[in-house]
Amino acid sequence: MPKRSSEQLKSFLSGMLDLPQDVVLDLPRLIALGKTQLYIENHKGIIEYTPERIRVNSTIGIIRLTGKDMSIKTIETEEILVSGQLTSIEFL
Amino acid sequence: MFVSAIWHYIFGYVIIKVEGMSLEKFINLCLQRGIHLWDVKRQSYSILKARISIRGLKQLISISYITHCRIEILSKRGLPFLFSRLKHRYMFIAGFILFFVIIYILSSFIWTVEINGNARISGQRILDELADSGLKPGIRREDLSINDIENDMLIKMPELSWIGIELRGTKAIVRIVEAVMPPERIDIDQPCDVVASKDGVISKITVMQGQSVVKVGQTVKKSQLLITGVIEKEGVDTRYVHAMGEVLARRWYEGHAEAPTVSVRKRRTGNMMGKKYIIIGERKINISDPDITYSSYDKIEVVNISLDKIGIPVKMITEEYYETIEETTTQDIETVQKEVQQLAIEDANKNLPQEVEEIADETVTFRMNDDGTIHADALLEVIERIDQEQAIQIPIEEESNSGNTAERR
Repeated sequence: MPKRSSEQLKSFLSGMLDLPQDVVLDLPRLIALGKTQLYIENHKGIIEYTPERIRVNSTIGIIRLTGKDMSIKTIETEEILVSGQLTSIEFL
Repeated sequence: MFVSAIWHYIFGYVIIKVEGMSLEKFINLCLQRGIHLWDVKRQSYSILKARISIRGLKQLISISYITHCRIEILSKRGLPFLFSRLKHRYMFIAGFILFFVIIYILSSFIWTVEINGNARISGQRILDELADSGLKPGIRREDLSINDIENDMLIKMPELSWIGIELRGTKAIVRIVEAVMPPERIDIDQPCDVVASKDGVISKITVMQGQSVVKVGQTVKKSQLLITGVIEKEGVDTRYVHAMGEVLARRWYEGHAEAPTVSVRKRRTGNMMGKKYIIIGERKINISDPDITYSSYDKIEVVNISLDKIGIPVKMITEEYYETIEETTTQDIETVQKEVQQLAIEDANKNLPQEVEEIADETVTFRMNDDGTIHADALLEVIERIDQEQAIQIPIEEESNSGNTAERR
């Protein structure tokens, strides 16, 4: 599994060299402000968007947000800001 | 968030409604093309509302084809739309520009001339002279050459020692300093008398030319003859000379001052009561209204809540009553006397002329008034010069060869 080993190498290197993992490994970064705002950086697009459920694609899989009255405040190529009554964040 | 809202307003944005079956695909395509969407709201399965910049809107057309979405513009917001609406209202824009042009033109003129620092010279005279030199209301600022006007004024008016002109907006502030004019001197060849410039008691006369007509110790009135320039001797023709001399006289200047020896001060006892009420418009509604039992008090009104600022005439006010008692303190009479003496002398000094030979004596008398105040009268005895030259009108004889008759006016 060459892909696997390269991932492991990257992870090892970033740990050794003190580099931020989200940059080296191309991981999404989620910042939650209480349960009313969620900021997702480095996403790969929206799969589903309803006021009750939002599914966002990312390099580690789908991130599923459930809640009430959710809306997308801003959406750009790199970042999404979701606001509303969040109840769960799941990584599928 | 606020900054970005202003940013969006300046560049303009539209609120769009997107109708279609694959709205997620629509959003993802927007992301791919780098179109910024915000305030995205899913209204129902097939309807989505979002805000988008004007530039992004133009790119949406191709996306709507791909995703089979119908895009409807709900409202347009921001400055670009405001301006495009103004485009057709030429007169409005013309008026707007004209407004600034008029302001600019009017502000390039001088409209008022203010004069500061004149005491003896009348303001109107200075204004007239300034107008003559070129500074008057209605003149263009650019046409003014302040240095030239200042120089011109100083040459024209010898009673000015300095003039400064400062332009502040449409106002010209002229500051002047008046020159101290030397007393008028009569030419040495011209005959003259010496007269008293002030009342006083003569203390010393030094005659250099002429003949003194007053003695030391004599009281003289203003403009009384002191040294005459008319020399009359029996058998000799009357001669007219330029009388000169120094005449010193005693003069008195008064000053007054008063100070109380008993002072009454209010002191708070520490007891306090409060009244509260609400004012709505003209009406007053009491919340708590206790009777104030204090015989004397300080009343302080504290506005707790006021909605005046946002245009609602509602106020909640607390009136605080602090009980006070009066305390009388008696001050030492001697210290008060000293203070009053100082003040009285200062008061008298204000009246003194600038040139005084000598302050001969200072006397201060005190008087106690019924109400406990001390009144002081200061009397300064000074010696000062009172001589002043005055030209003699020589009677012109019609018969020129006959001797001058001693006649003076």
